[in-house]
Amino acid sequence: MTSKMSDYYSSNHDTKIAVFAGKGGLGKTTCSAALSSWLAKKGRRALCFSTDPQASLSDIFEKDIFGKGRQELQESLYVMEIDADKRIAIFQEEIRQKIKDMYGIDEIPREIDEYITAAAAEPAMHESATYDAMAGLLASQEFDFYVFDMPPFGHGIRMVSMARILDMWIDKMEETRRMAQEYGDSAYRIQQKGAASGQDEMLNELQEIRKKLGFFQDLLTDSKRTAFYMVIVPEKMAILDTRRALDMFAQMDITLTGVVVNQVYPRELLKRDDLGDFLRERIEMQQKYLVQIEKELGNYVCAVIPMFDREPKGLKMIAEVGDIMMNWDGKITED
Amino acid sequence: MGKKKDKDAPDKKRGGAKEAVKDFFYGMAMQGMTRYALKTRMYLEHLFMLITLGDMLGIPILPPYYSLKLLPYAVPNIKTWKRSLFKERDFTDALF
Amino acid sequence: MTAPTFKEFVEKHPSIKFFFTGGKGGVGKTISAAAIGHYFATQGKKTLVASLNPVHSLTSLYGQDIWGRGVQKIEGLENLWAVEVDIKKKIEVYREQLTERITSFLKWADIPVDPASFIEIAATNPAFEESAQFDTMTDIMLEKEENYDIIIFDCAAVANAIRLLGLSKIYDLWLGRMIESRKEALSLRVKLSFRKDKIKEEVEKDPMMADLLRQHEKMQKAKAILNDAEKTAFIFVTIPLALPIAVVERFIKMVRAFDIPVGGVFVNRIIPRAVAEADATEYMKNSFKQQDRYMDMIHNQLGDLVSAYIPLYSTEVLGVDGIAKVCEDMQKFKPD
Repeated sequence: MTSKMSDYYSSNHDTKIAVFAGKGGLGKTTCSAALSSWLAKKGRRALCFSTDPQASLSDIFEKDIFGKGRQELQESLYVMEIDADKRIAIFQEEIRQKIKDMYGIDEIPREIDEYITAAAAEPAMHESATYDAMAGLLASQEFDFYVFDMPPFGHGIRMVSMARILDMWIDKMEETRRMAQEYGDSAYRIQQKGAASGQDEMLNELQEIRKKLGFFQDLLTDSKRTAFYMVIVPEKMAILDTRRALDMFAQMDITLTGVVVNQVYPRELLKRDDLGDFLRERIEMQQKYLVQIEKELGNYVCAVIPMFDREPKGLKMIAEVGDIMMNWDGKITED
Repeated sequence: MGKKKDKDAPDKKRGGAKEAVKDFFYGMAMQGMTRYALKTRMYLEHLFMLITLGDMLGIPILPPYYSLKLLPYAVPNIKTWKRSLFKERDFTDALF
Repeated sequence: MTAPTFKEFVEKHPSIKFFFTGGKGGVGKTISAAAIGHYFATQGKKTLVASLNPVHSLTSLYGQDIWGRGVQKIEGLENLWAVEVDIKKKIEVYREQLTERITSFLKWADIPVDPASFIEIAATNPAFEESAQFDTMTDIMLEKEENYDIIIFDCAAVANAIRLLGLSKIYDLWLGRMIESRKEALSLRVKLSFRKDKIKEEVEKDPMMADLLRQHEKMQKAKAILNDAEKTAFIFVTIPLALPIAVVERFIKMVRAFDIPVGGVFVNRIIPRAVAEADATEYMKNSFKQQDRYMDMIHNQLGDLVSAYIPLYSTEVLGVDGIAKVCEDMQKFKPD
């Protein structure tokens, strides 16, 4: 069995990021919020960030933070929920302005303007914008700690591989560029002036992007600096999904730090006389799957969070969840 | 002319783009002709634009977020690029 | 105002063919989709349940190997089929198309580089996966329309589902632009060419243009179906908790903005009063009290849309029998 989560954080000072992955509805955002709150109490400036386009941090902290930038909820505890649509709109405007400034024009040529408008509608735009915002936040190193949630499939996974892809691109472009310079210097002089310098700036821009993304990718795949958690509940489908996600992480060189088992009814309830049949059956089902979790994932389990009798929401309760999660030191099942 | 160059171009086996480009340039340098340099310069321009703004041609390569970031720098080249791209081969050859 | 029950809704809209289920992750979208499937299959309608999730659960739900096998007949019930959509094949097709385009571009521009590495990078375009999901959904809608009386799509978590539907509008805009630039490119080619006739002929046969136009046409058809309230219904699933309710509200707003008809809201995992009263633990008491509050919230905010209630079960719903029970409860169960 692994040690307490709090021990991990008191002995691994290099850890700067924690990621909670898992299927929807299992409580990964709650876990992110709980860890952030716990870290903030320990005096570390923590930023809790949601990559979920339907983020629920606003609901969890009972405060509308959507699209409002970073918000300090209490000392050292910062949260942020990105409004990707708004960000894209601002980004488009920035690009338009940049073109106007660069070429001293008042109006963008129609074709280019349409290109900018339509590019924003491209299916992956949301994802890229969120990713870029996140990479920017991490690169800024403004906070002591970053916590975010991530769906195990789809864009979360691609986010990690994208940096690698961009890397390949930039290498290729630099190579092309270098060769053009080596072999084509004479040609440059003959050719018209403007084109070459535009490409240099373009390459600079690309290198900037790579720096940002590369930093992000290094962080994510560095198990010293990033802790990766899976959130699971004691049910058949959740266990199956987790197994698949583990394979996927392994493929991406991501080391799993721990598994958090959530929404577990305390088994002590079974001893009580006033327990109804319904809840009894449910608890017994959970116990059955907990045995399976212990067998298959036991070495990873770092916290078991009980089912609460009300929805965990609000600063106070999230702090409580944080304490429970960080200090869990018990057993998954009865011997 | 186009045919002669095809012969110089390396085969498309493994080696990857790097080798291909290198071999190509090697052959070119041996010839030591500015005309080739000029032409190469044009290829590279095509390549560069393809990577950044390929989706304008229906060949999306770079995620559009980054294409947009690069767009301002490409603005003056877009028109020329498109024009040069869609000329028939004979036409470009005739230019040189 | 009370909403029509699911049954009333269906009887009032006899030509509905496509159902979609959506909601926050973990609220029971797949189970609701399966229950709707069960409802129609037992009425003798040829029914298909299609999972559009990145993580499928129909295989575990029905306890039958569905993954990677295309459309499968569900054992133990007449008239029911299920499919877990595999977008890998679609992505492979995209990859091939792109390979073709890049290769021909490089050849055409006479650039002596190996296209393989370009293709590798381009094929990881994140748009691929999303487009492939939507594409496959439209394929099923258009190709299987004739074969089935009812098709139910179990959509991925909220964001994805919105995307899938919202995409029909956005994707169209995007496709439109692609077609425009392709047209322009081709006409430029004709204009600048010395041998206009030959080029023109070539342009008319341009495979990419044909491909784009085909896509466009498909989108138009899919869009028409998605926006047709007599043919399509979107069912939102929630549970009596703040977050899932908020998500459904947001979701409904967005879907309506895309002119997609809302077919009702299912409230899942309701603790029946009898169950709560038989249990004196503070767990059950508090949960039930909390549920009361959220049920009020649901009635106030979504009341005119709630068309079915499903109780909380003591064990995970699994197999055709489990789903049969959900289907029955979906029509009968009322919170008291």
